[in-house]
Amino acid sequence: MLFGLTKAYSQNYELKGALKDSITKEGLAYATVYNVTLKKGTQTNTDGAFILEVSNGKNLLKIVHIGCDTKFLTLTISKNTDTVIYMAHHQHELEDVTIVAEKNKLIQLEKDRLKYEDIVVSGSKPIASILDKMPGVSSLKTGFTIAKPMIQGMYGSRVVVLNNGLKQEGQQWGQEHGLEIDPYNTGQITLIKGVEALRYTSDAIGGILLIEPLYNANDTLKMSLTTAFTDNGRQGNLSASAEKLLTKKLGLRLQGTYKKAGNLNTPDYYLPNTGFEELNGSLTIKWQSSKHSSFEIFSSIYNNKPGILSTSHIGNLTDLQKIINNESVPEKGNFTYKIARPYQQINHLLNKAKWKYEISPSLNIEAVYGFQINKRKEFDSHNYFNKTTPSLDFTLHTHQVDFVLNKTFKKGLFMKTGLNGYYQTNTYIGRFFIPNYKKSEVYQFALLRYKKNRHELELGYRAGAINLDAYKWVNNVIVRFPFNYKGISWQAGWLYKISTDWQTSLQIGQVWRNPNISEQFSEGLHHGAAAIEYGNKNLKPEIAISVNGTLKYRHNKTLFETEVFVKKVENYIYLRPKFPPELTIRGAFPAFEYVQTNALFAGVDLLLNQQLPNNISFIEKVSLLNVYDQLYSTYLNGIPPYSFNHSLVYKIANSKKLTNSSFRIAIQQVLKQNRYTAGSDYMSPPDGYVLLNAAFTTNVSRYKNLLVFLSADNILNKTYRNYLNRLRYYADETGRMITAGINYKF
Amino acid sequence: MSKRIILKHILFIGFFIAIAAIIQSCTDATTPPLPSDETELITTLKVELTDTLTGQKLNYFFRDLDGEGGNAPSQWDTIKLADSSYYRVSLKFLNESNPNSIQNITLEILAEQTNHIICFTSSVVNAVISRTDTDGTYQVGINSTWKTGAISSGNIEIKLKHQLGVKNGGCDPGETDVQVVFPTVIR
Repeated sequence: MLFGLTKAYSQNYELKGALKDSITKEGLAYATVYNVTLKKGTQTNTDGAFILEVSNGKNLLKIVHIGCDTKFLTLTISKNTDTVIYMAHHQHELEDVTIVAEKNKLIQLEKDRLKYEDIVVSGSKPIASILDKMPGVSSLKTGFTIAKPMIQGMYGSRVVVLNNGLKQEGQQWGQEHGLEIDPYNTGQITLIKGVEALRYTSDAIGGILLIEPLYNANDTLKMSLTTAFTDNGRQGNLSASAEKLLTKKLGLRLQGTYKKAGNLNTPDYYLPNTGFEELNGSLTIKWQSSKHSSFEIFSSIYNNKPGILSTSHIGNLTDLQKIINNESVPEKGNFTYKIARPYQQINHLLNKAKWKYEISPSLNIEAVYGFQINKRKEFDSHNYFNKTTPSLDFTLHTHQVDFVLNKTFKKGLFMKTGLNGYYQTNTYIGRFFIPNYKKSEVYQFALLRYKKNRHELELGYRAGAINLDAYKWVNNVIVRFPFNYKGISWQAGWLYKISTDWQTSLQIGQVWRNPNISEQFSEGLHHGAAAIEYGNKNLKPEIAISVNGTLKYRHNKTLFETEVFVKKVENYIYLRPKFPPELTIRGAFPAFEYVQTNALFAGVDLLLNQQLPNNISFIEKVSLLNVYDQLYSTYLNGIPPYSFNHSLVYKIANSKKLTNSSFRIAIQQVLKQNRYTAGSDYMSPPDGYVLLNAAFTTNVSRYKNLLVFLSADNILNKTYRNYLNRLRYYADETGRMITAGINYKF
Repeated sequence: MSKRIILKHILFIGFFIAIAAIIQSCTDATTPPLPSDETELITTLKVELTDTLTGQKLNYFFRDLDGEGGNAPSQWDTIKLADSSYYRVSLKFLNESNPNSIQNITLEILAEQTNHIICFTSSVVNAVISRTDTDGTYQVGINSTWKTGAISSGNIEIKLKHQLGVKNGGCDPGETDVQVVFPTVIR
């Protein structure tokens, strides 16, 4: 077999090509160019360039690109060849706002992107845990099923998540609130920073994660079924979708997912009450209502009931100290699917309606209306206080309206400008955590992009005003607390293509973020965390000045990308311990208050993908970050430690039975967080760890569209604790986790 | 684009907003729930002692009416006992955050006594405390007897542990719901 392959290769040539848009003559990035004759494929780079192996004689090529009809063409080859292939876009494609934004993005780095193939095989994990495959992105966990993303050390309301173009709400509810998005309906995830981010928000100091749902309806009914099982937690997942163009103008996609898991286990014991049950669904309708006008409706619902590790629900500081000093033996659970108290009940409904109208080929307008309802109920372990009602019940309603105008001028100048408004209300029943409030926000933004020869320049601003009224009982009367914030954020970017292989970029900017409601109003005991937290109504907005530079090299078998960044955040808001601990009827509790400082974030992210002989690639990902508290000359807590991911991917030659098979082995190395001030946390950061992971994916030829995947995390069943898991005081991380699954399209 | 199509779009968006407005109108952000609606609070621990010999009744309190955090405890008594005496003791856990509706949490604890235990620790002070009630398998501690010795002063700690499914007669498992240290004098 191997002999046959090398023999075949010796007769082959190299086709160097460029794939371009037939109208704009711009390179088409990330298109798939597949040689049907040789059963070998490749992807175009950001400039549309590709290199493909071709055989002597006739070769049938298949080219697939988003927004274009799939193109087949036959080439007759007798030597190494250079060519340009033009491809026509749909005249009036049903395209998504985020794809427009993506296409117009100044800097496109592989490290900031996750594709469907990466997502579907990890769909059993919460979406934030999938994101940490990107260098510089980590996930901040509360336990084992609740995770939120962290970009270069920034989290919470400093990171904005866009779910199909709408700002995903609910992040202001604090750390133990995960990201309510179904990974099985996600087609692509992209991290954006700089000018492009101003289209959506001005407070994303960390960056924006763009989550694009799948939609690919055409004339034939397409169905997809994904199912996976994970041994640890005995988790089962089932996801199905169907999509079709009902008429030439009207497309429909329906999708649903069910997940169920029981108690997870560490290498030594079961983690009591760590199961969950999740049921999600979504509906997409795209309607090309006339030649120039298109309409889109997206509606999704996410329902999750996660159990909270019962050993983490502690009474007071004495209990915590006992657990930390290992005086009391941690409660070791058994396996069960039953979810007991304490648990949460989460529902998130997201609706979007979008209208796009093309006035002329160079001018179009978009109107977007979004409406979200988030509900979170928390059931504490004390059922003698309340048997059926939750201890805490929040409802958050958010309306969003966008008007955007896109204009392409001659000579490479592009402009995007628009208005953006939000109205939000928060209400609660039960225990006080954050007050009721009404919030209105209005923004105006404009972005300009200019392209000439090897240079691309970008400039943008976003001005906004926020009005917030909070309502709270003070001495038996309801008091209104009004807040008004105003500010301008700006960003500038410059991209320089040094040569066909090298490109570099520089971005600078200043953005601001108003304090969020929990930072202003938290008051009292944070149940389960054994801490009393005090908000501060006098907090000033954060102002972040950032500079980041990237360097990218792509040549034949090498891809190298690096990003160096420095961010200075004035008035950085964080929780600082307050002494002495407070005495209550439940014993002593440590107290924390929200304070402001000047923080300096500096770091490097790196990706190297080197193809080696024998179909092996070496992939290295590095994330390094240092953070200083400049006012108190100390380190900030909760910052991701240095991490490395070394992996080898072996692309197995296609056989009659299996195609596109690959085997990946990865070593994930996380160092101990040494930049820590002794005594500033209950427990000093845990030791570093090294985990061994592996994955195998393949397509079974007999069933044309059957993808089979098998993965194993923490193969050596290592006992470790993760500094970015808030429950690290109480329990070890999970042990070996093997997942097997299939994705079948028919 | 024809007027008809524009009208269609406007109708469609209008329909969408109308649904949202109906849902929205169900919430009123300007009226937060009364603080006293907070159901899960123990504000007060009352220690009721009866001298078995004289029949004299003594009551001591720990009170923190606004719960954890906020204002400091409003009442934190020193327990004063006679030497070489024998007391019958009964504990009361109350939620007094709303003076118009005082809740007796003790009843709820008794209803779930298989998940609760009360632990007493006396330090320096000469008092021997024994629980006198049981859930059928393990002791509970709502009722106890306190036997005092010679004149002394120190502390008595009273701890209510919530031990959902993990009660084993000891004080380690579970979470601490109440932990109060009373300064105590035997004279």
